[in-house]
Amino acid sequence: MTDTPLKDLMEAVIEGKEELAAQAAGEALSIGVTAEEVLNAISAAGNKIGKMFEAGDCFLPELFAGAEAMNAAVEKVVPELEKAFVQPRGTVVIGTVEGDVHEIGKRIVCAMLSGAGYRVHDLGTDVTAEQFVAKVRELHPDIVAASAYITTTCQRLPSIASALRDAGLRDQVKYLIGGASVNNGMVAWAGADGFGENAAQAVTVVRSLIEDLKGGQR
Amino acid sequence: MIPQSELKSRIEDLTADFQNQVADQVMSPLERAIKTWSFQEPDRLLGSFAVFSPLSLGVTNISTREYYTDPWSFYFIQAMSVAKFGNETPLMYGDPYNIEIEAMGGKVKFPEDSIPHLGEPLLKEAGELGKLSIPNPRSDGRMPLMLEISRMHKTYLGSMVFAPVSCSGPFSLAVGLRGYKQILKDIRQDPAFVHELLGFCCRVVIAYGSALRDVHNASPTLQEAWSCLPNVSPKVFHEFCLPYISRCVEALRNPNTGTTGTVFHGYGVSLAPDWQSFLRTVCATGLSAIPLMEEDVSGLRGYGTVDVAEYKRICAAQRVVVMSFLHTDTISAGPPERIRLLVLDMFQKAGSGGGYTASTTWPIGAPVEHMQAFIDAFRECRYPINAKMA
Repeated sequence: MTDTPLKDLMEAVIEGKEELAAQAAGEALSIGVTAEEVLNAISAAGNKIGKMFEAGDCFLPELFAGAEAMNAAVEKVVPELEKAFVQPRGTVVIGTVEGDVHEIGKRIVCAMLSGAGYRVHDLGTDVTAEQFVAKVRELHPDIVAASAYITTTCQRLPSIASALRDAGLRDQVKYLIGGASVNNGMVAWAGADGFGENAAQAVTVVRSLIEDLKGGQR
Repeated sequence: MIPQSELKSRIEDLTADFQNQVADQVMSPLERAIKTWSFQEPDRLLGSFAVFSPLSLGVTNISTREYYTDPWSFYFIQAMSVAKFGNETPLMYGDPYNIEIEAMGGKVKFPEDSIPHLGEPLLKEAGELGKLSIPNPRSDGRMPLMLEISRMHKTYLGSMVFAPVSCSGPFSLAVGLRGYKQILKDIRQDPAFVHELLGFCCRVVIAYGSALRDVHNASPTLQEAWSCLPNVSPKVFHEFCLPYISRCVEALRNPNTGTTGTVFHGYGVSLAPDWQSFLRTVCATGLSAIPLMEEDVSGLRGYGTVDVAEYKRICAAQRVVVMSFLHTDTISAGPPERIRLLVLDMFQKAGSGGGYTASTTWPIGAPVEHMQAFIDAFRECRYPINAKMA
């Protein structure tokens, strides 16, 4: 088996070329590369873009284009994963809090989580605590992730933890917060378990929270 | 809702109260601003804070919605920020990124307890650009309300305090019309359309900005947060932002004084591969003032760090005033002494020779003593600068 399609795939993702990324993912699968290997390549490319962004070597337009390319490639892989019964690494329910319509960062987080092998259910923007709870009841995710962009709307973050607690669901999920008006110091105040400063860090924190959850260390 | 007659009466009381305060000062905030913008040292540092909700000041009987839709409610809160809390540059705008789009027919939602926000992007398809027309500032959307607020300022506090008016910058307006994700796609796939769109946005900005300028007798601040790094790369900035910002800055120059307005796109300078060169380029757009955000000074939230004194030198060489901004996290978290030291430290590094101001935003729920620390700190920053002050 050759590494070339995976190399092409990674390059296409890093360069933000959607069509080429989807094409390279399809070619890799067609020559027998497993869906899991393709996903790992997408994830590695996503990590590389994240690191480039953190190092100041690329900017949001490149990060966004990379996220779109990841999405395009992941779409090719999902049917193969389902056929092969490959389990996702975890399930994440994500949304921007009630009263807030900002979603740029959240979209990038979604793409990077998908690329890293997580099943992501994006509830969109202006999501109430009750909507988060309803989705948790329906899907039994590992992670609930809430994003808030402005100081007024980040006041909603604690209500999500409270609503999960009131519904008796808080111990079944980990709660991650992020967004422009959120910082690490707000984790305890919001009743959350973790904070993602950016998309790359969100993926790392999700991984660690799921390990924690599955290790029963809550 | 507080009746208009009562708001008017309270604004009159606040104005009278502030007149008495100014009588006891060496300079009024307006005189301090004029000195600062002329690169001369005033008596002390000019300080200001943005208020985006009545709740920030502890006012609970004016809803956020009323604040953004009723000129009397809006002006009362701004006047209160001046007379009761010592704000030296109140804002004659609240949600500048929404105004032009709303006036062109875009939907803006006004939640009771949160700032207004746009609904779906107005320009869903590129081909729909031809259907949009330049709004009339005297009749469309809340543009007349913004002009009215500016007139009210002239009537009340205008002789003592400078209060900027504002409109959207051309790139940020294009983002508002198309959506951020879509404009990035447009830049990759159809750059000619983006240039056409930006040309249209310039015409909108200049039409509205000219109306604001003519009422206010000062050039408006162009809000250009979307053109900041990392929202755009330096390459995108140079092709799609810089030429259009320059066009608007020049077109909105005040014919009476020859001065231009501020462009609010300072953050992210530290992320540029060569920040000094990037800053010089931004200053060359002809703007009169530029922010220096705490993110870029302290490396908050993944930003880098710039040398404050060098930042000031570069800007001063092009007669661009530096407006330092403490981050809302800093105001929320405190403690007061840290806030004080940050203000004093930056003043020591960048205050010399005027051309420097201190600002922040009053976040909802921030302890009053944290804001008071900020206010006390800028009042403590006196000219000439004492090297041992901090």
